[in-house]
Amino acid sequence: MKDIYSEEYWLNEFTITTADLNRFQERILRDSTPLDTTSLVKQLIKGRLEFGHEISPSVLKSWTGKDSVRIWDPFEKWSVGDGIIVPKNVGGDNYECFVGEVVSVDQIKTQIEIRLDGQNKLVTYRYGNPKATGVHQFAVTLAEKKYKKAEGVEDIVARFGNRIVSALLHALESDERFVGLEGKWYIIHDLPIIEPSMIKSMYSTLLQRDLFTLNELLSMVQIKGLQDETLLKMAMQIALQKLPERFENIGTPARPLWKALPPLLEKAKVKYYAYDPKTYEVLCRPGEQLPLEKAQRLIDLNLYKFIVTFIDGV
Amino acid sequence: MDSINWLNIQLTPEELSKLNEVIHESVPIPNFLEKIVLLIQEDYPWEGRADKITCFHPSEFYENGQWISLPIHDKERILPPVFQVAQVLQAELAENPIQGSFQVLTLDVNGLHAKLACGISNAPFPEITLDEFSAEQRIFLANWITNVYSEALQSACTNYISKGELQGHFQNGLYIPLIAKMPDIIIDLVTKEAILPEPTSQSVFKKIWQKLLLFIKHLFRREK
Repeated sequence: MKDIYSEEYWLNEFTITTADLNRFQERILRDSTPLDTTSLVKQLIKGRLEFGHEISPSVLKSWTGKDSVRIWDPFEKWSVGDGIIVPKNVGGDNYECFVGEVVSVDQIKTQIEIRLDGQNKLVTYRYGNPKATGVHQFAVTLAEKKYKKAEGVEDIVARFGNRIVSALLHALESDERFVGLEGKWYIIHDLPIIEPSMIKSMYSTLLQRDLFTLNELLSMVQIKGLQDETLLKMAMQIALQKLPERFENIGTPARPLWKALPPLLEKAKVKYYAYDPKTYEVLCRPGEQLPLEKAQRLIDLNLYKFIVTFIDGV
Repeated sequence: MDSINWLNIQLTPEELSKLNEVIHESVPIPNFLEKIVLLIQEDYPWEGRADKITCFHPSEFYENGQWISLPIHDKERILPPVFQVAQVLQAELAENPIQGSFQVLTLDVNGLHAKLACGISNAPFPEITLDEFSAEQRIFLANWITNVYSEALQSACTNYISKGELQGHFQNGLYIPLIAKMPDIIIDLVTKEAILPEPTSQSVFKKIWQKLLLFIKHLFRREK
């Protein structure tokens, strides 16, 4: 076994195990609050440094080993959902490295917005500036410099954070016990239960929007006795995932952006009368199932999704 | 524009007397009916006519049982529009989240059922008036009406004939005015066979008189 402080261990031997995930579960349940990725990474590293190698089975069998978290480089291509480690000024001339996720890419302004773990405010980084040739090197050097200064959790995060976070995210996303949202993690079975019927009752309204966020959905419901907004949003995310015929997440699991889907033709029945605005021909009447040609006309007129509903009625 | 309920025409006294005046000779029934349609067209804009009906407009509301006419446009816009008579079988209110509220009409169009939406505020719809029709287009329209509504038109005429308001009768594919000279031979328009006309009281008397004259002449010749 490699030395736990060696570079080789963190690059080649480190893995996430079933025991790691069990411990995360216990901690989340004990604290009864969602934990951010950085906290979990620190717990993981602290555990390794204090107790040595973890010998329970790895949960990263399907992991390709490719880093999903990269150190900031203004000349690399960035996409929404990418994990990132960025240097950030913490006062005066002092910089520290932070873990976060790319939440938007503005190709006109050539900038990305990043949500740093545990922080609500977004930070903006410009990319593609020819003058920024030394920025990536600065970020790498910053991590190395910190590593030379002291030993411990922060330094491991700074130096191998991209690899550890990539492995951790893969492990958590693959495990059915956990739900992740906006950089925070919680246990699914401990979430408040939101009945699919409640989400279904909002289906028609949501169909009329192109896309919707969990915040928008949250503003449409009232749930008594539960204050934690993140938990509510996670519960809604789970409820939406249980209705794949009606809702699709076109964002990332961590930054979801939801879209209400109209029923497929074979599962659709007409809810309202509709007419062709050019000929005034009535195209459908409530209760009937649409033939393909009529359905196509309604789709062409952008009426289909507003006119039909699921055969099961709601 | 307004239109005429071709399923139930009600000729004015002027139109009836004009028909009685201008038709001196037997004419094939379709030509006779077309003449009636053209005569009615001349009365446009049909002020005060009992058989006038409104043309469908999507911004209007309609009632059960109401007669309306539906403009039908040629897909290639080469031929002029025609107007089909329809009756509202059912008028119900409907709505949807995008198009709002409107009325759904179930129409009987020549025995077929069709559904149209109306009662839509500011709904655009091309307005057509008969004034915009050229002479050729009016003839085309009259011809189309005659073909589509021949049965109803003929039935209305039979009614006028029975009441003595149209002075003539239908026989063997012809309309024969009372003052007409009976043709010696008639070609059946359907079978193309030559047929002898059925005698009227006038023609029978004429034929008997002619035969009597021939018989007298024959007698005179024999005596000589």
